[in-house]
Amino acid sequence: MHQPELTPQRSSYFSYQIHPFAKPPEMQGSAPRHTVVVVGAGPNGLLVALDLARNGARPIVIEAEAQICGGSRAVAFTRRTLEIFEQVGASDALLEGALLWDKGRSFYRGHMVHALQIPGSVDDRFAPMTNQPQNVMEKVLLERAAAMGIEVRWQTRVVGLESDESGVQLKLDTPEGEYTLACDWLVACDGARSAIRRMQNLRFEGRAYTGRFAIIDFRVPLDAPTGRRCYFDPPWLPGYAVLLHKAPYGIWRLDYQVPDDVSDEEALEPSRLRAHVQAHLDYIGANIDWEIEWVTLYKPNTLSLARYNHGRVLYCGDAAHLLPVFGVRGVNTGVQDGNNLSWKLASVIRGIASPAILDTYTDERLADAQQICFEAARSTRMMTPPSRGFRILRDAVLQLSVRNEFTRPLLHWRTSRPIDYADSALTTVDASETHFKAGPRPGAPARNVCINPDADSRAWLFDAFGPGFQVLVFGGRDAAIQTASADVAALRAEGVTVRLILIHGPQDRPSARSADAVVSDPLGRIVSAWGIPGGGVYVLRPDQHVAARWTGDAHTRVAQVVRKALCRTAPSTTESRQPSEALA
Amino acid sequence: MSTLPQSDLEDIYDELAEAIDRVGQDQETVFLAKLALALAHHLGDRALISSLIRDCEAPVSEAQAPDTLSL
Repeated sequence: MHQPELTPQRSSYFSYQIHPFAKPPEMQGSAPRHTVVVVGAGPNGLLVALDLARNGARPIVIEAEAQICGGSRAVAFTRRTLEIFEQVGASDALLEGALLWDKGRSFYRGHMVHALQIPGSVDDRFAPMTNQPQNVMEKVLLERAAAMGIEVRWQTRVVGLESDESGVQLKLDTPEGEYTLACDWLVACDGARSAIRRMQNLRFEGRAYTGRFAIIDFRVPLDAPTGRRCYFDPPWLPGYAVLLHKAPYGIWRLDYQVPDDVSDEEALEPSRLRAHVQAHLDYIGANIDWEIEWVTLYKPNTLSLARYNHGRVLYCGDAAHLLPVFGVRGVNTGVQDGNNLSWKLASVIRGIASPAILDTYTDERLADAQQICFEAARSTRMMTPPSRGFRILRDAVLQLSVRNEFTRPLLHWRTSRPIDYADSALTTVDASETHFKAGPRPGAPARNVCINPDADSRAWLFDAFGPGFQVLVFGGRDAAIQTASADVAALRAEGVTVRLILIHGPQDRPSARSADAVVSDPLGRIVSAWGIPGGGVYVLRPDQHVAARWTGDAHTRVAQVVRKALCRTAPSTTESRQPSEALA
Repeated sequence: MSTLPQSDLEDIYDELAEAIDRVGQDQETVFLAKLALALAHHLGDRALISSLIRDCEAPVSEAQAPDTLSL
């Protein structure tokens, strides 16, 4: 019988709660069939469950442990992650107590060799980087899941899996014995050591690096701005690189490469960890008391499954790939996986998308994983040179960068950025594409805009968005609005959730036609940021990536774009199933 | 004098590192010296080459513990 750890994890800033095991209906004589089960109540699983629910599915979550993750783990979230949290209604809670930042500095032998300020603008609702420990993030998602009525089955471990073309049967072990559960779809969010992946006999492809990094979170009353500090070749760790980050709640993080001749066990010896923290604080002149909060050992990899959808089982986050975290690519990549998968799977479950759409989940997210591997490979070569040649080049660049500008860009740490799904089969590129001088391209994530940057209470374009597809009509022309409205009505009759939004620029006559939202853009800030001064249409997928855009005189129609984005060509004959009110 | 675009410099970084690994540790110094001479020949600016030699020769001093806490 499965016996998870029931002692709450210890933390100086976070109070862990033990979630009891509750006997499910399956152990009380009934055998409900679930449409979708998410395995893993980590950041990825919870996000997927919330996003599935937002898109009209009814997921349940299965978690082997009795509590959320131990330690701070992932600690830096990108703007895109915050935007995705905003979609599921969890961004405000995530920002409570968080630290925001946009700067990084790299040092070599006491000289500053690289400085970067991540660009931001008045149109960014969220900072480029938000620091919040992963346990707090998981708590935020868990509270949101509870508010949405999503069932989480704690203390329940998957011990068997059988799948065929119609669904999945899980054998689950609990503190009160085993039971079987049947579902139509399974989403594996059970992390780097995924049990589901093992049970399906799937293997990662790619390479594992030999370098290892120690991560030490320590409590210290050190008052300094938040940001990324990188120290190459510090006197206490010659030849290696050290990162220092400020986390909320009085915690700082020291992150350094473990020399090759030090074993994993030696690397985690408390005396060695303490000596390293003290040595670094001495080096940066911080004479101050501190204590260790949490430690771990991390190995950068570029490993991925060849496909993320395997019949009725879909893989997400670390269960699907292990990517180098340099440039905050761990949890932030998983969150984008989940956001990409959720609306597609929910649409298949609701009968409004062809199951072929799940292949595009693999295609779009594999393209991102490949881009991440390519970009991270260079950061990784700089942080952990894989050979003598790369070590010599790294040292040469560092030494030259003390007095020369031309080598400094080589030290850029390439932060995670959202991918454009430009080559996706779901994206429509209209002939009027060449008329656009600005705005999110087909496949790219939508760009938020602050409508009134000088007002006390700011309003944002994204405030007008809701679940489902967004159809944004610019220019206020009656004919365009009428055509879009007719298509929206036809799509709704097919069961598709679509939101019609009119954008009224400074030159537009207010239309008498009705819509789900009318956004007044008196300063023309949306019109100019989205590159559409003469009127036209943007269609956004439920994950806010652009499905298509066109200017006023194009012949592209909303209905055909949305059907293509759902991998359908003809109107669906499936009975429409709207999301229930509680989940809408 | 034209300089190398950033993306080319990134590629050269990799090419050089891989060449050093190929020639092996006992030949790497001679390899780099040969490359420096060939580059000097193609650059053709005597004064510039001498000044670059002096620049690259100068050791990097360990500065005072940097003020790394202000960002």
